[in-house]
Amino acid sequence: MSITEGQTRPDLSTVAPTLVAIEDNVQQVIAGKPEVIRLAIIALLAEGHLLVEDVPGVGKTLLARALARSIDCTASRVQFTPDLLPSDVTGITVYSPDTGRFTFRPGPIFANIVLGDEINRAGPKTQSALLEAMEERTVTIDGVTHELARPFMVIATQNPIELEGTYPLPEAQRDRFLMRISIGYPHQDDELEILRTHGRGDPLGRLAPACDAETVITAIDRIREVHVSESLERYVIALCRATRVHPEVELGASPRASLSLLRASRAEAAISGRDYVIPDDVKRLAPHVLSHRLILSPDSELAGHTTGAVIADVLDGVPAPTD
Amino acid sequence: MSGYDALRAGLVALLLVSLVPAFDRVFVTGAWRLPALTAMVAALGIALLVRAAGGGAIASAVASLVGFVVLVPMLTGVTEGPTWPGPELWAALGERFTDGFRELQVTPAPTPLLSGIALILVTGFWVVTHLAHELLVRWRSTGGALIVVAVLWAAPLVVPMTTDGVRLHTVPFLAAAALTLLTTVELRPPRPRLAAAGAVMAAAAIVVAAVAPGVLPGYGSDGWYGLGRGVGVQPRGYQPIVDISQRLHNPDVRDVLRVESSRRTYLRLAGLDSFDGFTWRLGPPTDGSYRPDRESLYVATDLLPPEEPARTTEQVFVDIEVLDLANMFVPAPYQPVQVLGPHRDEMVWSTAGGFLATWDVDEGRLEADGPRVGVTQGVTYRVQSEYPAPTREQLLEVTVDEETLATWTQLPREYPELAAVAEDVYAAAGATSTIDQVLALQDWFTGGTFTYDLDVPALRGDDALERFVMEDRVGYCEYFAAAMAVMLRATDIPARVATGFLPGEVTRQADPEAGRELTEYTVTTADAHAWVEVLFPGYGWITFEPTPRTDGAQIQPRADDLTPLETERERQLRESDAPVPDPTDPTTPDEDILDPDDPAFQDPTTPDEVPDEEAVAPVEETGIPWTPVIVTLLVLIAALAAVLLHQRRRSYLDVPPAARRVLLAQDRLLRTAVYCGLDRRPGETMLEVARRWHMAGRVDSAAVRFARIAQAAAFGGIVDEGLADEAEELCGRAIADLRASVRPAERRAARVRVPWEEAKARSRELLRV
Repeated sequence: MSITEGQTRPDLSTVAPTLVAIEDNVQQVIAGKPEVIRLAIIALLAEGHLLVEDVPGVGKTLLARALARSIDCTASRVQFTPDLLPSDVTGITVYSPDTGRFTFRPGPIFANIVLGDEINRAGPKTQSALLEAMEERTVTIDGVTHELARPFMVIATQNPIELEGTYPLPEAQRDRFLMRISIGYPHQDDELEILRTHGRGDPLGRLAPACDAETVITAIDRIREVHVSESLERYVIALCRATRVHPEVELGASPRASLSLLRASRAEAAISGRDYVIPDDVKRLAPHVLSHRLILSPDSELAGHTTGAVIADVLDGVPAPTD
Repeated sequence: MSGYDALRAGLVALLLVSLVPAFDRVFVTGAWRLPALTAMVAALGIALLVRAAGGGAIASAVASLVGFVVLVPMLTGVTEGPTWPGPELWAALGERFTDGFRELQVTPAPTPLLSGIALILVTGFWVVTHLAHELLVRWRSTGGALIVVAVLWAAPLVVPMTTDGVRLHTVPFLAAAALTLLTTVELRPPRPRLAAAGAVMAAAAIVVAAVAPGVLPGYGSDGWYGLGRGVGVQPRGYQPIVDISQRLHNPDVRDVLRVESSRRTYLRLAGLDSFDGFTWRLGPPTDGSYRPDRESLYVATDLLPPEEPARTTEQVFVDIEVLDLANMFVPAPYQPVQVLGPHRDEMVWSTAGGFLATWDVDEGRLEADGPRVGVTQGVTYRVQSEYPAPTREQLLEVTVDEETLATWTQLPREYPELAAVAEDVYAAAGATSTIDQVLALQDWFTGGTFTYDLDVPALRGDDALERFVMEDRVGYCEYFAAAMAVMLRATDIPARVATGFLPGEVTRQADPEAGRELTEYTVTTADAHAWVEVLFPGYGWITFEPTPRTDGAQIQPRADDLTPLETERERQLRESDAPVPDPTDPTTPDEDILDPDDPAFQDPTTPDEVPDEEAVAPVEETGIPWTPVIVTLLVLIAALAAVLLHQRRRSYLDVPPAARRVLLAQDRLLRTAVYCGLDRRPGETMLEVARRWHMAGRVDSAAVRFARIAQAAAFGGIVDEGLADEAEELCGRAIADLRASVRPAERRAARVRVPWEEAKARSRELLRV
């Protein structure tokens, strides 16, 4: 239920304006996609990772770089190819003849925001190296454990077409991503806008940071304290359980899914300037957080049903709490 | 308790109420409804209470059992007030149940609400209500609940019915069942597997159908038989006594026979040989349903052998036309010698019990399963009888051998008090011979000590006859005949009870000059009667009349030539010219002796007052001690209300006062919406609902603002008093807007429309599945 007297409340007074500033900043370069930007920021604040499934050229890389630029932190990009090795991602220990010692040369994963482009093109071994790092937030090479940067977010992209010669992410791996989104083609007016802004040079160059990494870390820590009432916890669990018994679903949402949904909902509440989560937060994020974790039964897949429809069905059917 | 639970509980109540027309056919009056439906409400209340308090199925069953033990004895008159279970209560309940099953076997439908039947009825309603609640509300098993209720529905099917009856019996139940199915069957995911569920339910239904008739009261070999007008309905037991009180209490007095007779005579149906402590019946006391020995049956085409040889007789001729009767026993004067008429081929004469009955006869041979209701409207026949008319002197010579005496003085137990009363009566009358003793007892019964009244409690309990003879002294023919026959047997005089009809009213006098030798009598249902027959070997069964009915309908034992006219003492008194002393009652204390001239002592049944509306009251309506029942129900209701109220508030108790105000306002708003027919879809949040209403133009943006505050209050935002004030104001506006946005007529219709549309949607889905 509600917070009783004397319970501490997270101080969100500085957090919400910061987030809004980041949002505005990124919007300067990515036109007409406020929802995508918001979801990306939520993933960042919930310390989750983003799987972007979309065709090339809609601005996936731009999103990652704009986000990195806006919070004044490092960004790197790995183009996944079939011959990419795990060490190409994590880094490698090399012998230096000058000093006669082995030194660690960090890979691209040692950045705040890592863009893994076309992650399904690399072999499973490389994919899992990345995914392990995502989960553990450390990399262990030659017995030495290296902490990754904070904040740390992987934005991986997958091309939903041209599946030949790819290694689609196994279900267990997909579960590691907080959300799966697609950016989609821009609206006609926005596309015109893109032509004009991008035609005059690199828009990223003109982008000034809205805050620093420290501020983001503070925000992440405070968001963990956003209040979730018991009825909402039950609601989240009920949603996930409903996906497991849905007749069109072969594999439903895992307990990790309910954790992720709650974490994302907290961030959503914070962005909205609330220190408590409401069912609307959960409902808004559920499609993004849950859809890539469900596996439809072969029959309904053949019938052309989508996980999105299943989740809409579940959201309609599970009673939302009012108190 | 959720609204869904409440809906399902309401459906349970509806299902049971839908059984009312079915059970109405079983009972004479609607008096059964009150105890049965009270039991239903109480059982449902207890089950709901336990569920609302979070109790499980076992707790519910235990609570229901406790409630049953406390309430049902009161409802059915077993106890006067709340009684804690103890040996006495168990014994009383057990005895009443035994009575009830016996009553079910011997009482024809429609029956008055006899207390044993009432107990079985109330128990049935209680158990079925509890089970239906558990199945429908607790386990959400609609089919299971319907099967349980269907068992109760099937119970009254033992009573044969007409086509109209079928409709009345069935349609309300089917309608209630359909409504239950439509409103409760879950079609949203997971979808029901219809085939599997159907197979399971069908299997369960077959098992119930196989088991229920063996378990339900009234089914089986000792079934009820309807007095019913249904032609072709076979009697399922042949106990003629059972319909006397039925006929007498029937408010609808009908002419049943038109008789042309050479003399005024009782029209006898059968002699009841044995007494089982409860009722007099045909055949040995152990047989529930008497089937006469084939050896004693004679097809009525020939001269009939006498049941008992009678040396001195008078001839009686009667022509009988059946006006409105459906019976297997053929009314005839005792004892018939010959039957004439087209229907005599279908009649048999039994020398056991001395009755004429209609039978399936094939070319003079008796069919195995022969008895049938052949005495129906339009049947005419002539009977020649030889009426035993011995003189007193002849009867004084009679001796009874040991075997005959043993056969005809059997009683289920000793009746020492009744025997003592009889001996006192004999002594007071100075009677030493059998005939004098019988006459003395007959005089004692008819001499003013007893009162004739139809509106009396049924003979019930082991000491019912003792109470009737020594305390109550009010009753009708059945009581007097039963009591006198038992007293005679208890003093070693062979006797039995006979049933049949009084001679009836003269509707046309004999007119020998016009060539009409016979007098026409019309016999009505109110002439149903029972009397006593005493065996004098060699002279037959002689009729005696103990019923003190003063309306002249019956043949008066002293005035008419029913029995030998004088006792020894009367003859001596007459010869000595002394006045005949008033019949004295040796067992009545002086202050209780009633003056026959006292108006208060006038027989309540005056000659023109055959059983009328008042006398129609059932034999024994169960007296419900209302005060304790109502108190118990009130306590139950209060407890239910307290639990519900507590549940409603409980969730808000841990909320700061300001937030609680907002949440209560939200409840008001959502309730208003339901009453306006604007339901909230299950998945919709408060904010979404408010936005939807706003978009539809039902409310202004204030409702959306209110929804935000309500969510803050519900999910952990800070709500201070000022915000709560604002919320309450916004909520008030939203409620007013919402109500205004729905036309009053629609609002009123919503209560019907919303469930109806849900039902429609469900049936559509059902069809699609």
